[in-house]
Amino acid sequence: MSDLLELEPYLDMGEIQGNIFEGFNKDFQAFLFFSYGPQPADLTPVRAWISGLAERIAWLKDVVAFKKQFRALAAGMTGADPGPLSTCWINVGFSHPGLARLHGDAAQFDDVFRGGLPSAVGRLGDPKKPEQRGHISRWLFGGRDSVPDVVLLLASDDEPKLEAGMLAEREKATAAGLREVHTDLGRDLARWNVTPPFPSGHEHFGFKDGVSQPGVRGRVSSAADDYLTPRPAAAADPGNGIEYGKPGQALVCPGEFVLGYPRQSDIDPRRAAYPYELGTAGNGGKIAGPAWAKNGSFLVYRRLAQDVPAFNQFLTRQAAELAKSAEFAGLKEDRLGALLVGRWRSGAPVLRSPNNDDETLGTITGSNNAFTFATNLNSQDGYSSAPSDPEGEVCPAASHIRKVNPRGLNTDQGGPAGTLVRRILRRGIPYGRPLPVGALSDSASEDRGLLFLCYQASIRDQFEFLCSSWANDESKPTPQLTPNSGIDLILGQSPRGDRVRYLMLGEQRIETRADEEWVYPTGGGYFFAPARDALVNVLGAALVA
Amino acid sequence: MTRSDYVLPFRKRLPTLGYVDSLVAPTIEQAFGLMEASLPLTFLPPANLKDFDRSQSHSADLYKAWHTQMSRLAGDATGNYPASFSDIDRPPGSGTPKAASPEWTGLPRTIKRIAGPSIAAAAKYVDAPRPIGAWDPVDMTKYDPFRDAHGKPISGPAYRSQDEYLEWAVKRDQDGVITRVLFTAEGPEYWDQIAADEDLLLNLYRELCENDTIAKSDLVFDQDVTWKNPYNRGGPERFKKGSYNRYNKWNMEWAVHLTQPANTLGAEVTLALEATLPYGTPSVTMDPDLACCAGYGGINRMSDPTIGSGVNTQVVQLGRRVALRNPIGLYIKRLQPNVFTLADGTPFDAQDQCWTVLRPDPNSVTDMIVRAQFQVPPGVTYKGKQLRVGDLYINNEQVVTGGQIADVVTMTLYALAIPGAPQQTPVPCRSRPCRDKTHPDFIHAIPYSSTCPPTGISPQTSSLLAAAHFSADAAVQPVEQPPRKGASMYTRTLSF
Repeated sequence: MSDLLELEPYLDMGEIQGNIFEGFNKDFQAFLFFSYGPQPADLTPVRAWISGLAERIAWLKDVVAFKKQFRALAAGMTGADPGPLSTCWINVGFSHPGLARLHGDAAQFDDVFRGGLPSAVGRLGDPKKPEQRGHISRWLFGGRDSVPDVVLLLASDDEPKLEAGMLAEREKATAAGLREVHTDLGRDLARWNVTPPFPSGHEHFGFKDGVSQPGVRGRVSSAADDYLTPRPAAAADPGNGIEYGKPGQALVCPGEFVLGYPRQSDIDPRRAAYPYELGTAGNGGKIAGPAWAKNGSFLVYRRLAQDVPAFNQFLTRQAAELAKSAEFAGLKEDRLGALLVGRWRSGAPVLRSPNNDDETLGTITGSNNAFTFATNLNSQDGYSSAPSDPEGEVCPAASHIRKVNPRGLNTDQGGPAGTLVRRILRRGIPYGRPLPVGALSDSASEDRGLLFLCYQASIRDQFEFLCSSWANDESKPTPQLTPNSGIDLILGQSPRGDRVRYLMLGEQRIETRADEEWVYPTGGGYFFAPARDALVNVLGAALVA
Repeated sequence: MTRSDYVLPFRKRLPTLGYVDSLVAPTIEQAFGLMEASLPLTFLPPANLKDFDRSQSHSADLYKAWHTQMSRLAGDATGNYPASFSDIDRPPGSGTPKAASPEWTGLPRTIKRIAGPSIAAAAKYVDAPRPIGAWDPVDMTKYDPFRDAHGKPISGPAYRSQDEYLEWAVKRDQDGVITRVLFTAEGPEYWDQIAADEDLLLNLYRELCENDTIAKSDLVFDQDVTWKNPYNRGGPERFKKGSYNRYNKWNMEWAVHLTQPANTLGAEVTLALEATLPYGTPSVTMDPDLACCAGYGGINRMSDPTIGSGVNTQVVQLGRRVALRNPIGLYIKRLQPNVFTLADGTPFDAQDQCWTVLRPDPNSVTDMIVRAQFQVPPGVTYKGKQLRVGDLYINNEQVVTGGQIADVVTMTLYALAIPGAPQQTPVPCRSRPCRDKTHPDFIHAIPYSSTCPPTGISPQTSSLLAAAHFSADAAVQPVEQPPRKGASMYTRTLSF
């Protein structure tokens, strides 16, 4: 049994889809949603398509090898694009209906995945009224009667290669009888030809995205120190027992993201816990899925529209209003935005740069993530060290980054190890042409936003928990320190119908009113990203009577 | 102005923020025109309940007795804990206290760790009352039964194995489908006090249980009995014939007040006081290490570690002194929003209409709720049929237990913190956490000097370690413990 508790287990490189642990991190991505067609249908061609797909998927070994090569090349060619290495990667996910039509054991998946995103909209606080934008009845796809069976994820550094990949995959899918029901195209905003150019890695509101991701434990070869997440140097130990790859990149056991691996202990950051049980041989209600779910992961896909002018107007109006008060005299919209997010647009954390954006700090990987909220962190990088801020006097307790990752603080769930088991691997990318940062209008009224993707081992205990139990709760995750501190205004899905929101900066109350959500869903779904073995030998195998 | 009115502090309400803890108590001069020193503020009944006002002849006595009882529990005991203070005796010049209100949910986390992740499966173990003396699935032991004057076990007294300061009773229709769930967070001590006026007790029971046939004899012991309460560090508790029986059948059926023996105001106070001490060298501040080190409560519960670390952080990390806010109580904060769906997965939008605060009455509700119910009102239908609670779903699981709803009820207590924590010598750690071998979410507290194997530990080994440690302790420490008074009698930790 002891290998089930191995802290740094060998990861099955040829079985796990590449986007899960490593992230494609490509500038151009496409998401093709298909239906098998009306029931009953002969799924034999679909099974053959699935089996063949396994040969085209970018597995973890492919992505790791590419990135090693990329890093080596980039090290020798500072700033150069590794042109010859450019490729088009494919991954896949299946909704529960899509799996259930292929295999009876799909009934063993947990209730939340089986219910899918349409059953979750209430829990997530999505708009309740059909006339509201974001209501599920107005979604482009993934609503109650339009759950796709399968999603293909394609990614490339090169737009023509992505288009060629899409064309090829569409042909194969169509030949197998699949019907394309929706397509989303994601693109790094720096790859749009706009003036002024948009910075890379930022989302439409202008904030650098994806700065803080967990570091996944585990090895990519038999070598004892060949870790998936590099450990370039011992990061500053803030005294909470958490180990880090880079500063702020907390290490988490792989079973929190992929089934079949040791999970993270929620009582000791440096220990593993037993994996989720799979298959009928498990322990009663603890089964997370069928045996063939091993090496697979749950994928949440949310197509989130962002109303950029509304957000910027809100910041401008509210900052001007608040600036009239003695507490917030001189408040500018960019600082108000930073207080809502917990970072400045550059990515610089408010905790390390409380009064102004520091664009250099924002771009330095590690330095832009070196803070815990709980303790003073003595960083030796030339920037102001992050202070202890348990009561949200510098970085508001309701700021987005703090709501979903309270780092070193005790929470209503326990100690910091209890936060590690809530982490998700975010793989989102923007869609739509950007407006200039700070734009107050959009004459073309174009659709733009974020294609939010995240992988985890339990949608209920990770993605949904973060949204419903922490982000949308006025007091959590640290009610014992910061009661009634406000909800996450960036996620913006208020469980209540009113439009008045607030967040507390220490004891100062920042009260705001927004007439509409700035971020609202327009589609999505819950999917499962199976292992190679499951694709070839279970889902893609001929049906055995 | 009645006597009970004068002790009610004013609370300044901010829109949407809820009540803030800048208590502005009326001065004694304002209330009675007396000198401040002659009439101190008093401890109020939980949630400012007005039940005592209904006592025909004993109203003032009941208020006074309650104040005396709470003073013994919470006021006097603070003397042993220098980083605590009493909310009715605030140090002068301490300014506006900071609020600290830990939160937890109502379904025992212990049973979720043993029988989860299905909430319905876990809740089934604790949903129904059980006789005192039967196997307890949460504490994993049998309590001693009540005994008559000859030491013979008696049947009758029952309790709910629901140990997160929230208990519930489930009502079902003839098909066994849940139609209503009643929740209570009222401490038993308050009802002991009410029982001083038998008529008041009977009237309240008849109202809360919606039954006019309840007799006084239903609510009292019919003979002298004793009970070794597992959460009372003192000796056996003795009850005279005719004295109030907390564990009566009507309470079981309607969840009038808390019955799990750790669910007492005394235990709440004890936990909060013990959490004002620093623990471990080097300092232990993170859970679950802190809860194990301090041993101030059940480490698998959600409430105890959360309350403990909330208080401890205020003292050890922020240098403050802590009090439980007057009126001291355990409170239901709210039903989490948007948690129910219908059979087809669509959100159930009438959730708010189903949740009714019962005590205090709707006109007196503040941030302190002690009784509520969940019931689908008439006229709320699905596919043309009246909806019942049991027709709803939470996390895609059909509601087949009251515990599933308890799991989405947020609980809280209110603490206040002021500057000025004194230097204290850290208390050595008692235990450290160690996972159970077969239920990996379940934690054992093993002696601090022991090592937790990577594969976890079995309950048997855990017991052996504890027994060996206890023996070693007994060899070096005097067997006789100092007499415990006030709050420290009642604990959140099993005493055997």
